[in-house]
Amino acid sequence: MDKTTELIDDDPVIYIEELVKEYKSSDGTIVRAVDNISMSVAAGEIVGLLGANGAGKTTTLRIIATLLQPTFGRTQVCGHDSVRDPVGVRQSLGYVSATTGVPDRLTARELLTSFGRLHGLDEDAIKERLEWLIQTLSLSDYIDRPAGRLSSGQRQRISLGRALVHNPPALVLDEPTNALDVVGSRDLLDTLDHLRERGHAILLSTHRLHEIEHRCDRFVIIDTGHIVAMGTHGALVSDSGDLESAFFRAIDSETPA
Amino acid sequence: MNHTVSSLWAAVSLARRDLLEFLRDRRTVAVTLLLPMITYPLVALSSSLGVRTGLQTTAEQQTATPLSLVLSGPESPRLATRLGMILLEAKDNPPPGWPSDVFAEIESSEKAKQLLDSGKVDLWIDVPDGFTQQLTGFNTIDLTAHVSDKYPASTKTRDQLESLLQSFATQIREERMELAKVPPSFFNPIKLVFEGKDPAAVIADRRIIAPVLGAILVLLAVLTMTGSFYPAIDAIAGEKERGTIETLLIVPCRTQDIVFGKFLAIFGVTLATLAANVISILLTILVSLRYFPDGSAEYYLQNIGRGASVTLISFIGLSSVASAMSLAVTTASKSVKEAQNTLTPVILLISALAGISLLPGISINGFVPAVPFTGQIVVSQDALTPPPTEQQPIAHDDQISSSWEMTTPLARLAPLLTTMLSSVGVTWVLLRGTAAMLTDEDILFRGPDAASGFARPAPRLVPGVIHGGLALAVGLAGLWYVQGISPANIVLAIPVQQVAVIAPLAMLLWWQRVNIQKTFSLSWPGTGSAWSSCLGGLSALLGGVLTGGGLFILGAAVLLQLTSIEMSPAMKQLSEKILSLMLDQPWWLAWILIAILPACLEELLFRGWVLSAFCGEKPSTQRMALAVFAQAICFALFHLLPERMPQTFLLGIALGTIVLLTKSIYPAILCHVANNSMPLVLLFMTGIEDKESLPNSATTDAMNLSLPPLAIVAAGGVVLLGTTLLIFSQRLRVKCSFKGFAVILLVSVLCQTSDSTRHLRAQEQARNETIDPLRVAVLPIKGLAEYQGDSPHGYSIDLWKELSKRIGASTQYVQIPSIEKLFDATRNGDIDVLLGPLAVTEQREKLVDFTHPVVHSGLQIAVPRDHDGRLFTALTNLISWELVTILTSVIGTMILTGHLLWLFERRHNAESFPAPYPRGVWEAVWWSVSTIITGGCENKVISTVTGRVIAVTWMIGGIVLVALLTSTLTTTMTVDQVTGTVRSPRDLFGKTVACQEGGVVIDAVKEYGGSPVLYPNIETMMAAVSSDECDALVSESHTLMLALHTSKPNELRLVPGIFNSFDFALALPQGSTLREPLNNAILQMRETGILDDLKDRWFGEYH
Repeated sequence: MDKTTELIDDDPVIYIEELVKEYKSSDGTIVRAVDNISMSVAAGEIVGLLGANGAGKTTTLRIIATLLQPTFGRTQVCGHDSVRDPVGVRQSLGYVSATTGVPDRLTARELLTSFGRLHGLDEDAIKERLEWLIQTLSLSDYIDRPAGRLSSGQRQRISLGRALVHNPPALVLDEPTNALDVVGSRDLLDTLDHLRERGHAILLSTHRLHEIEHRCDRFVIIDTGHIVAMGTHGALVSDSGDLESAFFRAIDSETPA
Repeated sequence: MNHTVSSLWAAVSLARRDLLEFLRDRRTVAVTLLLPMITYPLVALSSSLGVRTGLQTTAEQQTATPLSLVLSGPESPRLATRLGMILLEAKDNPPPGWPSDVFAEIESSEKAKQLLDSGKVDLWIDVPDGFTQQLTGFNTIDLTAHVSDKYPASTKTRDQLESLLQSFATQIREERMELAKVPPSFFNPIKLVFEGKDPAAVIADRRIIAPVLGAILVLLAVLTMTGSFYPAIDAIAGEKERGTIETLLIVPCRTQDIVFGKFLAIFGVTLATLAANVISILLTILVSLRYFPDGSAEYYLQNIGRGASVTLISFIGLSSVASAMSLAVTTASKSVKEAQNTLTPVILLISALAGISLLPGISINGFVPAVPFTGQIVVSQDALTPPPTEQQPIAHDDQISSSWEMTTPLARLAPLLTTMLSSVGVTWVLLRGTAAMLTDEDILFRGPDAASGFARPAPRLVPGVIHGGLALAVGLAGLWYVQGISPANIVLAIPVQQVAVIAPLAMLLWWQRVNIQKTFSLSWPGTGSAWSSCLGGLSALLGGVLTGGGLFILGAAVLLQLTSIEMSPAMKQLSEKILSLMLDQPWWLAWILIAILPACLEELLFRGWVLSAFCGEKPSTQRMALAVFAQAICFALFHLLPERMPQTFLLGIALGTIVLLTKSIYPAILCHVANNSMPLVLLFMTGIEDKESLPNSATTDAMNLSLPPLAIVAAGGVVLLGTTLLIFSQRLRVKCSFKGFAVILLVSVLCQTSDSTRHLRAQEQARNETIDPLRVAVLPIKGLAEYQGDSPHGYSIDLWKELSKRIGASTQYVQIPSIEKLFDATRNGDIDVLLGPLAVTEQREKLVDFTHPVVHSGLQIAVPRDHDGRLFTALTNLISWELVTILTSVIGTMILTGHLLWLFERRHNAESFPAPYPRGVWEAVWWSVSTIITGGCENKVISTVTGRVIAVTWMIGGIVLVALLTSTLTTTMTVDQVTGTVRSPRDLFGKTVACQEGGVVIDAVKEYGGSPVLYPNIETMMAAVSSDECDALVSESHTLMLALHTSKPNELRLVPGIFNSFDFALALPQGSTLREPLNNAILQMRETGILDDLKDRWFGEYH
């Protein structure tokens, strides 16, 4: 697999350029969790970020979401730089992580309302968005129940709702289907499809290759912090037959660009 | 559509959300808010007994125990009847403490005594014969109430009997007055009646209220604090566990706003807890109001408004700090469990801070209100305590000052303002810190062990300079703070201070990892083989001890020389306290507290930690010197009072040098112990055992003591010896000559000590011999001997004590009222010694025998002391014409000689005396000066004959000149020249002189041409001279000396020289056998200087 240069759209919604993140380990050596990653996500596109555990997916996504600071390089969301204009990034981005939870004793409605307020929406806008979210995410059954009593799939939906309450053009999801069963997983990915059609740019990471094999427009495979393969499904699979073998080949080969 | 949210709005929204979530946790809410509701009533109930007894009047406290009294004697029925009648009359309204019944059995004396000894009765009165008759007489009837040996009656019982008999006495008095026809109003000239409420009964005792209040406030603070824990844990740690913290960090708000929002939520819950607590307290108080004495409740509540508002405001501040602290602590934790574990020590810390406010002596002034938790409680407690009144003024020795004392309203508000400012400040700082921690990647995402900030620093050999300074700074702050709250009892105060000094060191030790052995120099001071190491070590230790003891004496000598400096009150107080410690407590306790404890701890801190820190690992000599100097300065500063600093500084230098020299701390510890033990040793050597045997002046004005020069020299020798030993211990193998030197010094020191022990032993012997006591009468002379009560005091008495010791006799003082009778008694031999001493006149010699004179007295003059400092006056008085003349001539001759020499030498001796004018004369003058003073001048020769003649003339003449100069200087610098105008009686001519009425002084003054002005006593005479009414005063020498010595401040000066003098001696009956031994003793005392010592003690510098 060769790392083809990126098809950079005119205005990528999410744009990552030569991102590096270094950590100091306990014995003093410097470890690069993210090593020179460059990629982009355009509007109306789902990009899948694939990699084994510890490859650097979570770190990359956190940097995009302004939870971490990059050591070198930069990320931009809708033109806002994550270091210089984090507020702008946060206004344009919705972030859901596998470990993200919801408060136990608040109902989904209250949670979404409070986040709407924190994002600066006025009450009418919040009501509007709430309606739309309930509809899109099918939250009506449990919108007024305290979230502690819901199943994990339902909670994940509410999380997604929280990420979408301010209608961000970009959406970043970090292993969103980890805690979900098959049905929940499929529902979630269907929702993402729907959102893509509406023009959102979605970047999602996962290690469940079979789930997203036919859902993503492009794939980026990373290993030990750097990109080992990038491209559409067709391009990647052409030599190997299925995504999984392509994945393993990319990881094992480790050929530089 | 989306706009950036304003900070406050974001914070409030977040707070709303958090509060909503928190309040849905029913269980936690119940605990947080309901718990206080039941706490206070429970506490009040359990302590109500204690509160009640504290608030009750003394009347209720005394429970009446029936008095059992037995009377014996034939007339006892009479007394029994009368007492019984009194009790019967008082049955309806008994006075406080009276029993309702008196059990009196009329028995025979033996049986009564039996009853008493067996404990069946409390008291037994044997009614004397003639009791009935005496009742109507006018004399006092003596009644003895016997108390059992085995079961002595309690004070209460005795009081009861006394009050009962007083009532009886009143009755008898009235009967007698009737008999004598004296109206009852005879004994009641004035009748006083009070109008209105007695405030003393009304006000709840401040002293009881204040600690109770303090305890309640501490409880309130702690409970409020715990009210902030659950929401804090929930707000951050709970969110971290649930994974919702990230969702907060990606909203378009600043981190500060998120933190502030969380803080608001927690603050709200804390305030709710506070409110619940306060309501509970109020209800409890309202319910228990009936325990207050009548009227005091209303009085107290009248003033409660201010107190309550102050408390409420300061506790809002406390809640804010508590909330911020909880938030900060939980932010640093990764999980709920960790948060709970971390908060537990925080509760302890806060309880400790709150509890400090209960310590006696915490005042409301200074920076105490700014300390979180402590400050708020102290401010509230002070505001809630009732204001002081005449009956209960603020006791300043309690060291509690109150805002009620402050005069301006602003000053009264100041503590509250300080508290609030501090609360806001602390909250702000904590919130900023929390914001930083919240986004810290380590804390947010990595595991618990990744947090590197709290790991212990890497191990090192010695602490860094910073850590040395840190231990000092915190120790000093703690010491200074402790000064305000240390207990008045010095036995407790010293350990408290030491702990305050050493605590930062302990904490630093726990945190830092240093090589203990190297840092504290814990090695044996000797080096080399086993034998030389042992010997070297021992000599180092001994050297330390000697140096410490000797340095103390030297330092004391220096300090005593500076007698013109007045001791500050703080220093006087400290000296008093230490003196009382040494006298009142057992010697070992005083030794531990004064010498051992401070020595060990201070050495560890200063010569261990600080010195090693300042020196570093491999210091150069220069750095070591600098380090010793620096730690000596710090050591001196730690003793706080400026009078102690010079001595302590020198000691610090010595100790630091010892440690660096011997590379061991043990000699320094011993040196310090020895140094601090010296006061104890000296006290022991003077044999004073309790305060009463100290002469009057010593306790309050120790500066008037002076050390004999011999002691100073001996001390110097000891220090030298010690130093030698120390050096010796480090170079054992090399210099043997030190041994000889050391031996000589050691011998001389031993001789000194043996002499003094001999003296002490002689004294002991003298004390032990017993023969028939001598009858000694004292002639009261003001200034020499006076009766104070039954026993005589004075210089003569001390003199006699010494004499009687030496002749081995004991004394019985006889008091005879008039002087004639004294003389008669002496002539008849009724008394053995008449102590005066008396003036020896021919007339008296015919009647009695006199011993050798003991006192030389007469008249003496006192004049006002110059107001300039002595030194300045001395200098100005030095400049007399004679001095100026001599000096000028010396300088002039020098210059002249220089010129002459140059003139003749310049041609032949250009090296020594160059040809050009200014330079040559300059060199020549230099030659003259050098030759005159040092006896020669290097690198200059005189080659011509003429030159040599001039030179010789100069040398010989120069000797004369220098001698002249020296003698002039000496004469101008005598004390007489330097001070005053009146130097002898002749100078009294034409001056106004204060004299005592009716004395021989008046004639003497007129003889010398002065004008006497009469005054009734010595004090008024002195006042007259001080205020410049008179030029001088003349009086009998010893009266004058004593008056000057005990008056302070001294504005007068004694003019040396007694005129119209005569000798004073002791008078004995003619032919007394005591004459010979007494004369021997007197001569002995005079020759050994004891007589002078006594005079020193009584008349100070004036004799």
